[in-house]
Amino acid sequence: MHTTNKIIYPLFSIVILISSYVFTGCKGGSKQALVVNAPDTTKIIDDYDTAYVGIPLADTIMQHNKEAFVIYGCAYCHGLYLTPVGEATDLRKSTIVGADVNGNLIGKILRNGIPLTPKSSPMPQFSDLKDEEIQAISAYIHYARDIANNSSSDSGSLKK
Amino acid sequence: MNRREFSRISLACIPGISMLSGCISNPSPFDPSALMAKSYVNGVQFGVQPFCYHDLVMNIANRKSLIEKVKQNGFGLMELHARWCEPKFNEPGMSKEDSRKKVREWRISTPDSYYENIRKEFDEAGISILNYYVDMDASYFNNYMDYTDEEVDATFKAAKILGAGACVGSEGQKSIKRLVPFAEKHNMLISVHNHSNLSDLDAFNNEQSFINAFAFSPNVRATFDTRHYTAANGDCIEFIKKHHALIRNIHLGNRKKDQGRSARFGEGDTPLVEILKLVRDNQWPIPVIIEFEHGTINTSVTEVQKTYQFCKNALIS
Repeated sequence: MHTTNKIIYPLFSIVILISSYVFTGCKGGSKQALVVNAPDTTKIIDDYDTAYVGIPLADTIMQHNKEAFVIYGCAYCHGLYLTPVGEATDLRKSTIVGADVNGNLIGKILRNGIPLTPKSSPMPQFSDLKDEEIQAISAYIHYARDIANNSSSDSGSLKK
Repeated sequence: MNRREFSRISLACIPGISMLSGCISNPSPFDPSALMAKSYVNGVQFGVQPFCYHDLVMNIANRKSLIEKVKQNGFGLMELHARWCEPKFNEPGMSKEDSRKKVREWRISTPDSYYENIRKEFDEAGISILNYYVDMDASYFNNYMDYTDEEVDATFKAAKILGAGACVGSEGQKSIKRLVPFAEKHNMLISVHNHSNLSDLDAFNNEQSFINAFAFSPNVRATFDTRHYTAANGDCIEFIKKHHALIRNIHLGNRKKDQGRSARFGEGDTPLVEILKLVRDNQWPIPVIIEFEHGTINTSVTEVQKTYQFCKNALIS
């Protein structure tokens, strides 16, 4: 028994030390690692999808505006960097956005939606949003449009 | 090393070991049948519409990532859009017409083995493909040009090889009527998916439009979208009660009435909890496919997990 312990303790210790070393080298902090292995848990931790939303902007107000654009679902159809997905309007080329001042035109469309359309999914209305939220979405559209229309790449500078 | 030193080192390293085991090693082999079983909650079968993984562009290259995400979320059932399987021919300088022609040629000449290999990927992951989602009308996704009969035939054949029991798409009533003979020929179903467009008389947007389609053939079913039905001011509960026998599956998502926006589960006007309990209490074999369009800054896997957990909570209460 004593002899066995002499062999097992050092071996076990080596295994433990190697394990710890590997663990510290393991790329912890991955956003998805928070939840992906626990599909049945009721404790789901919020994370932030840098791969999709991008690295948070240094301008915290614009970051807030960008998040409003994402959270209210605008990005799914119009694209986070305004490259539309599917049949949505291209906001980079929209004359309404071009003529908008501080959300005066964008806000009206958001409030009412575009119910009469030949498209399969009409633009929904966002009448329940507060004025500040409408302003935030409008501000981000202008910001993203300016960068997209003044950049050769679609999204490069927006992600920073 | 004495026992005291061993104990000290061991205790210091225990957190590392336990976290490591969850980080890089998986002691038990993956069991596809276990994933399939996980999709059932109190008798209700769940699946996912890959559109929820908004961070993944729908293409062939991302298909493996898609499968991983579906597995991570614990689903053994899903709908698969054709864009996860079909190549794009959109080289710079190529006209829409040439691109469309190349896709057409590809569809009708692709051997069965191509789709058999795709099915194998899903089988090995323990994921069944419920429906093959493909727009076979003159839609945006189809460069505004209809599928030829040869393409429709090849698409139903592909869907069958993939193990899908039905083709479904965002199509109008005329298009569905045209597709019915192909579904019948392949002994498959054609499932009708509703949107909220009330200004298009050909669209599926209310109960009557579904009833029209059911009359086309016994092979027509409903892929009942609760989000759009709510936004079009329809009564989801009433529809499911009346037409449950012809509902192929439910797209479970949340919107506000009066063409309102998408909303997180629990915040919109779709009676999600009531719908789930209705299916559970009547033991109707209607798979519930989670599909949301509300925005999130979370990773898609996290957001899918949240919505799935909402459903689980509803069904255990």
